[in-house]
Amino acid sequence: MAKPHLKHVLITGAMLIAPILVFAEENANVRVERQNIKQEAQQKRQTQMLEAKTKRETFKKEAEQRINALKKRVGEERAKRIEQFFNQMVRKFENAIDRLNGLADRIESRLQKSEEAGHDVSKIKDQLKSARDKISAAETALSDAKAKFKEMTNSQNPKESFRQVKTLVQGVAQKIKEAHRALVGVVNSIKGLRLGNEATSTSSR
Amino acid sequence: MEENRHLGWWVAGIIAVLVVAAFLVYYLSYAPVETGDYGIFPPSDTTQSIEADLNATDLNNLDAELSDIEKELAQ
Repeated sequence: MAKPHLKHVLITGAMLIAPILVFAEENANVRVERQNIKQEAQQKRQTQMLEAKTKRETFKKEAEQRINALKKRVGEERAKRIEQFFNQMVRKFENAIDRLNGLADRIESRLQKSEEAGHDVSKIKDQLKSARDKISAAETALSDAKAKFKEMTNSQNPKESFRQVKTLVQGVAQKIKEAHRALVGVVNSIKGLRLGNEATSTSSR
Repeated sequence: MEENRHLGWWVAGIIAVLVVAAFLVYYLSYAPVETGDYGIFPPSDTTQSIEADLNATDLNNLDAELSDIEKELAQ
């Protein structure tokens, strides 16, 4: 007696489940695709950061060589002080670049959540990419300045060579400020879309 | 009496279908949450907190040591 009813229930059930199953699968596919794109971008950035870190470490390790080269022209004490001043300045630049990179990551996380909530953030993503390019340009310019400083320590006329270092360093400062302005622009765009007041699942540190 | 039994089968069947559907939607949509490299508490990504940290970023005097080096070289 119960068999025909069971058959009806099973058929109805299958009809109800089928579209839900398709919808859930599509959702999962989109999610996986987004996750893959995000992971690819993260891997690329991690590689860049690793390269930058290696360059920074190499520069630190070569300090002794630079001092030995420069002391022939300006004496040991002054060579040490010059190296110390330059390293102090480089550290400030590196900290600023790291901070901007961190802020860019947080903005990206914000955008990701807004996108998942159904907002169109493609233009803001382009803006963020441009800001990230500016940060990379600052990192590259800093590497160039460090290379020129190394050249200066071997130069016959360090005072003259330092002018080129100074120009490059001022360029780095300029590029960092441009990157900062670009990030401010991205945040203003997010605020313009009224995406900023949404609650997030992340906690403040 | 017979009609009540029919109705009971339908209700039980629909409840079972909904439970299975809910399970499927949850299971197929589930994606593990990444914690990244920040440890237990990642930095906040609210627009307000990002903006506050951007405003607090001091980029003045980054190259202040240039004049110190120039002085050393001028001696």
